[in-house]
Amino acid sequence: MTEQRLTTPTAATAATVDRTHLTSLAADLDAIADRSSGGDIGARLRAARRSALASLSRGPAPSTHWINWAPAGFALVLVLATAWMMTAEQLGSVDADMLADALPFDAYLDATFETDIGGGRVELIEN
Amino acid sequence: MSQPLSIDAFLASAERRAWLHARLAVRNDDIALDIVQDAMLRLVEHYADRPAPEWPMLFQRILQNAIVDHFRRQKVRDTWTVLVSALLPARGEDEAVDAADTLLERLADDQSHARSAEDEAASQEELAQIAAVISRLPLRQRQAFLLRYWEGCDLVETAQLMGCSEGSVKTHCSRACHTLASALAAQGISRPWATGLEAGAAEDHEHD
Repeated sequence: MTEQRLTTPTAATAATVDRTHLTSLAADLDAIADRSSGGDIGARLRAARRSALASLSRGPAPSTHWINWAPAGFALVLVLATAWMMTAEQLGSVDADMLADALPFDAYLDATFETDIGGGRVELIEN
Repeated sequence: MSQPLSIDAFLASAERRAWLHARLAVRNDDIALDIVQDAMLRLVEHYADRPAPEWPMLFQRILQNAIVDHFRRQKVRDTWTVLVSALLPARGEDEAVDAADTLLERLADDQSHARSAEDEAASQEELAQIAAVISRLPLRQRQAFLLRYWEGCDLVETAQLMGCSEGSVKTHCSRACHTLASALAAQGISRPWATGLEAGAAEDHEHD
């Protein structure tokens, strides 16, 4: 196994536990690591490494944040479309009534007319 | 020592040590493997384009954070299961013994480093006991001890990796050395480095 040291032990480290002792301690710990990660564990470690490296060849995953907002966006579009359709239908009906003289032609000049349309308080002129 | 040329080679060289770091901390093979895989994935995804000499420190930082994160999540889970666990018999000590036994069995099963049968058996048993003693150290003490004396980090590097002050690292190392020296002496384990631990602990304590 190729060992990977972070750095060479410094004087500060060696001052605490003697350098010779460090070497033999590291050797013991390496032996524990090597022997306890043999067999099945070694195979699983290799598989984990391959799996991690596979993400490198796949490249960055496409962003999926928009999926979180999709239901809210769809609901908003639905509400706006329904409101627009209702308004268009209502105005179309008023226009038809004005053409049929069921409403006065200057009905829109009444400041409260559009509010009254919404509240159903407009009374049509019966011919 | 020359740096590995590729991130694959680096991970291959670091995976066994990373495994032992995680295994000694969490005492569970599957969880330790998950932590190592997660650390590898994060390194590859976020830092593969960084210069190779930076990988060891980055990987160690990711690994140590993943281990600490595991214990944080476990603490949160435990708060939800505290009532249930209070009704069940305490199993913490048994699990620790089981974990040490599993490691001991695996060390004993390994025959790849054949010497004389007696020497081999004694060595395996001692290694397993050393692993068990290190595994029983508190998390921060074990981190400081392994990073300084196994990975060869200096005080500054260890403090950066652990996210604490250099003084805290010294204190953790001193306590770890003292505990290990006492435990190994009590078990009659005579490794060359074990005799230096007590002196090291005293020296570190003086520096504090």
